[in-house]
Amino acid sequence: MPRQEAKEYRQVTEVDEVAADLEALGLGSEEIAALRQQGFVTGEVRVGRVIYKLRFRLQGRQRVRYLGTDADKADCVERLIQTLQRGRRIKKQLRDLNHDLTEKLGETKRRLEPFLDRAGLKFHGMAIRNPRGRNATIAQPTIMQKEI
Amino acid sequence: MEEEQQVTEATQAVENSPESSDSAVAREQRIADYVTQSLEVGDPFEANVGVVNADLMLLALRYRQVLGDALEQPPENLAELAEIMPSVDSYVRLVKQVDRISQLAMKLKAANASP
Repeated sequence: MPRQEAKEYRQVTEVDEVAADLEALGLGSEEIAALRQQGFVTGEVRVGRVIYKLRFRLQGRQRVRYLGTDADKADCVERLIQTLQRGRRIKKQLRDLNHDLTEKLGETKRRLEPFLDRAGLKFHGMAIRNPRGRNATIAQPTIMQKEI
Repeated sequence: MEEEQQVTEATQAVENSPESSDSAVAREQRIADYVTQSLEVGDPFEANVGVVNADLMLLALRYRQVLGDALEQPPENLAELAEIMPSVDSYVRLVKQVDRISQLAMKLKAANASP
């Protein structure tokens, strides 16, 4: 398949569609790339009316785009930005979860180790084992013969 | 035509169904119940095992939700998939640990129940 045709067959992702919608609002590709990283919609009360603005940073400087007073339009832009930042948001959530996992597994060991020790058991990595030559005392002799 | 419309309506009903969020709330509630039950146990070992296990279960539920979001759309390229895979491995490791602690909890419960 020629390269041009292959390009045409490329799957149009949701992010591409969002980028197209934002372009329709007058945002350039550089600005959309910046919005992928950071950016949000604010509502500010001016003379009894709420006006909406899109705020983001481009090349280290804050940029503000006036969105008008239409709450539905502001909501729509907010949703578009959330979709655009979806990948980045998920990556951050996964990073946070991986950090929490390391902490929780450590806490599990710290909390259970004294009890396991008294019961004649030990953590081997994250597995719970009955060291050779010792009898587990928490239950029937056979209870901890196998690795948990 | 009518059949086609019914299928479309049924599909929309499934897509709009709040089942997934309800299911997550129900699971969180069951985990909270597990914590409450564990704290009522007289044996401190069994109580601690229950609480620790519930914490891990809650974390596993959060992993499942975020990974579900991440894999909802196919990754755009291999590099993007490679970024997610370590978290999938972490989730599997976590579930394995929940399994180990659950087995310990069951054995402790059985041991404490026996005369």
